[in-house]
Amino acid sequence: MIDIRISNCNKNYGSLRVLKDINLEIERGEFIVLLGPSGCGKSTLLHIVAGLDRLTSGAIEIGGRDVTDVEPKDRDIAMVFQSYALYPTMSVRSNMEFGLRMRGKPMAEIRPLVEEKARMLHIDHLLDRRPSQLSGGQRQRVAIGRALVRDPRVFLFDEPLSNLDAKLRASMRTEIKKLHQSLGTTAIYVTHDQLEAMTLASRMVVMKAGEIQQVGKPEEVYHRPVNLFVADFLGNPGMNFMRGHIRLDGGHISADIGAAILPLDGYAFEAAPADGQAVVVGLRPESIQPISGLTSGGGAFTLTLRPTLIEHTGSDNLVVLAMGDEEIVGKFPTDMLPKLGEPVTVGFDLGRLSLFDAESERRI
Amino acid sequence: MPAPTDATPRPARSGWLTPRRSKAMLKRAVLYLLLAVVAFFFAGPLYILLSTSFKTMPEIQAGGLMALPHEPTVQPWVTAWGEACIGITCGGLKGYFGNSMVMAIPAVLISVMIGAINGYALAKWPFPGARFVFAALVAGNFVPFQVVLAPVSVTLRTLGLFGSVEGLILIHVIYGIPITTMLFRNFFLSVPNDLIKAARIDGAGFFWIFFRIVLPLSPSVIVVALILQFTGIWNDFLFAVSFSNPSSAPMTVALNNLVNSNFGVKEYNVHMAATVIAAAPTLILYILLGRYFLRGMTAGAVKG
Amino acid sequence: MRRFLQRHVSQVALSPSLALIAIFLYGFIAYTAAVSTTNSKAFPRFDNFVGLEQYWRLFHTPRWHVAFTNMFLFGGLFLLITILLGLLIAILIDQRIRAESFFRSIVMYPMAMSFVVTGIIWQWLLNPTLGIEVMVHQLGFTSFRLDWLTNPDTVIWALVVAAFWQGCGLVMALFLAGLRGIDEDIWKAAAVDGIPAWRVYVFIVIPMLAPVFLTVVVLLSLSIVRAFDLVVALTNGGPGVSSDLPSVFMFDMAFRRTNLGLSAASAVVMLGTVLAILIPYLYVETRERA
Repeated sequence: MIDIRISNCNKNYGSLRVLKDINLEIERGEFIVLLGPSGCGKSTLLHIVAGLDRLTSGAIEIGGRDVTDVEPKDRDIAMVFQSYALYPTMSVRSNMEFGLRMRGKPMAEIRPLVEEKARMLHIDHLLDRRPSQLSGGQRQRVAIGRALVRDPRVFLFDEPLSNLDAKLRASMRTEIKKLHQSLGTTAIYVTHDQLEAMTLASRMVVMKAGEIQQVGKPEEVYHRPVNLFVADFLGNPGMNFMRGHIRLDGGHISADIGAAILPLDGYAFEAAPADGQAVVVGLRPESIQPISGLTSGGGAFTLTLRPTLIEHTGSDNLVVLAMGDEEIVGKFPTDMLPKLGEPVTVGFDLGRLSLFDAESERRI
Repeated sequence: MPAPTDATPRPARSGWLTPRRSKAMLKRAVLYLLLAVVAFFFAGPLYILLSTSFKTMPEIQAGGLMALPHEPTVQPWVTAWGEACIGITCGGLKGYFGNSMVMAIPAVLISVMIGAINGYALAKWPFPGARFVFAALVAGNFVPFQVVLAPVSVTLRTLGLFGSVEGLILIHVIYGIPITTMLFRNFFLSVPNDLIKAARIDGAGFFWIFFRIVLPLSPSVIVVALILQFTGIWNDFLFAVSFSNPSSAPMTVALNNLVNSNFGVKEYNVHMAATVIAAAPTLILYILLGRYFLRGMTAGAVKG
Repeated sequence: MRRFLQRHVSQVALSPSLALIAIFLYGFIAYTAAVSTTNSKAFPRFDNFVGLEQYWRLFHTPRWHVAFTNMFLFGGLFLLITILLGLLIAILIDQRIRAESFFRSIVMYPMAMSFVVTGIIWQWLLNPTLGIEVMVHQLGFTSFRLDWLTNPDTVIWALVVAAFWQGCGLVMALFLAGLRGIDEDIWKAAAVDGIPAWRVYVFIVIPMLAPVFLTVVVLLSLSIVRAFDLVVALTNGGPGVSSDLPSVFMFDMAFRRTNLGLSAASAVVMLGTVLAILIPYLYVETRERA
């Protein structure tokens, strides 16, 4: 069942086109993450779903009802903000009660509801404090609690964790995931943090310059990016890109990247390649490993390369390898520490390879 | 911020009056001497005003403005407040003080309220053209009010408000819109937009958010606006002298008439007491709320 | 209707103010400009159009010449003195002095005084039979003369000193805030390089205060064009008309000499003067922001 339908949505600020013809359908219970660099329009899209921004053209449906011209308060949504947006002059309790009181629900019903949700979020001992007396993490819990109390049809999250420190962010991420699993409410979550996107999303939407680039399950978007932008945006360290061209040689297809010729017989082409077509080969660092560390047997393609720089991250070693005039990064297990300047044999997991047309930058 | 001269006294070591230290001390002495001169220049007039207002006329004529009163008397104050002749009436300043209060208090409250709502609407509920509306309102701060005197006079006569306190209130409210709007709009820009959005999603409307969320966050700017408007309206002379008549004249006009009239012997002690009375309300505000006062004056310095 | 109000509540809330300002400010400016092209006397009349004759007459009125020249004379002296001494006092107060807030308060309290009160106070202080002259005589310097108020050639100084007394506090406060806003590391770097304090001020700190100077010049200039109460209370334009300012001229023509046409022309010239100050300033400001 479709819970939210965004059709042909455009948003202009003067001559600036912030959103260009966005179409998106969200199933009931999905956790959708809008991901993209700053200025890509993801927050604007969220605000339009909330009704806080008006769209220039197009339509928004929530729960089968056209809400394009409906005020935010009548859309049956609740929102959690990056700045928490707790009302500073009200206690935590009043903050959580506020939305229901505005809707004229009797206090006798509100009280127990607020207390229940506060217990759920472990903030019941903070109910009589002011937001200014809370830590960042506690404020975030209150903000989530305020949304939960409303029991809305849709949760909207606007970069809710970006003001928290790294450790707290990780634990709140887990908590939001658990909440969603137990409540099953439809949610739209905006972030520029790919880790949040990968871990939380049931489907993620990657945006750039007001346009949707790719919609899909996190692993699908990660492993089969539809274009160079998505490939480059996801992953840390980023995907290795190697310029080259296609060779059609009898029944065999391969990519000549100068320093090597990569066999592509196992690659699932989306469009038939042409001989000599200029391409960009993309391979994530974890698909470049010392030969013994390679797990998937896809295509045991090996090259002997010279390490020029090693970065220890703790959990593994990032090894920069010279390949012709270019450099690529491989992710080596900690126990596999090559020596600088001494060539090592590395395996390329060609089953994880992505191939893009050099001109259109689209996946082929 | 810190100037590199160092005056903090340190425990004396052997030969504490080294050339270097004595030079630093000399610098400090010059510094405080200069500051004393500055303080004398600014504080002197107020001291003279106060001390003279407690002197008798013979003592003043004997000379010596700087001396403290020999036989302090409050008679000049009593005369200034209740008996001095201003124009043809001899009831002292008390009626005019009342006029000023009756004019200033409602004018201040109304103009601050209007400015707060305008500022809130412009800062937190922007609409296409909001910047233009803001510019159009705020440009009023720079206009010398001489350019509207004649038409205002005609308008007040048409409305039957010329020479009345109500007329002055109306004029102060209208011409207070630019400055209060600017003050509040600039302050409200710092109120997080997310707060407004969260309240809208929670179902609160324009005025609810204004009164329950935005205003409780803004006591300081409200105080600044109140001080700014009160000082401006209390101290105004141009509108007061243009649109009041002898019975509705505010303090500034009455004081000027009292002191600068050419009749009779100049009773300096009464005049100085009158001047202190005229300056007292704003001076007290300054003493009590100096920090806000400065912010108000800085904001108001552009005003016409 | 309800829905319209809900959606446009912001515009609805602003519209009364906008209407009032449109009429009472822009409408009235246009009205005054229109009156300035007529031969109106005691009451505005629009049936006697004379074109720009009132402006021609204005600039051929000796009294306006005095007033207009005085504005620049008074303005120039006031600006120069207030900025120099305001900055100097700010620097003095910025030397980590004891009782800083005491000195600050003393310099700033005259801000709370109206120009009428300021004018009256200085009228007494400059009165040769009552004020500073008598005091100095009592100190033994009997040849001392301070006749600013009675001498047409020097009366402008009376306005300058009174305006300075009232306005210095604000200027000082703005400069002090500017000084306090300067990165402390600048002073540390200068100390390490062994640069004497006065050189740091002259070559580093004061140039960094350029935006404050600009603000101060504009604020003071606006107040100069509008100066009215101070003159009325201090000199009432005298002796004769020697301390007239445009605002006093305008007021006199409108309310005492019943020459509204000429008065309107002088008011429009005043507005023009303000615009001449403001437009370059706004131009600079917006260009810097962009």
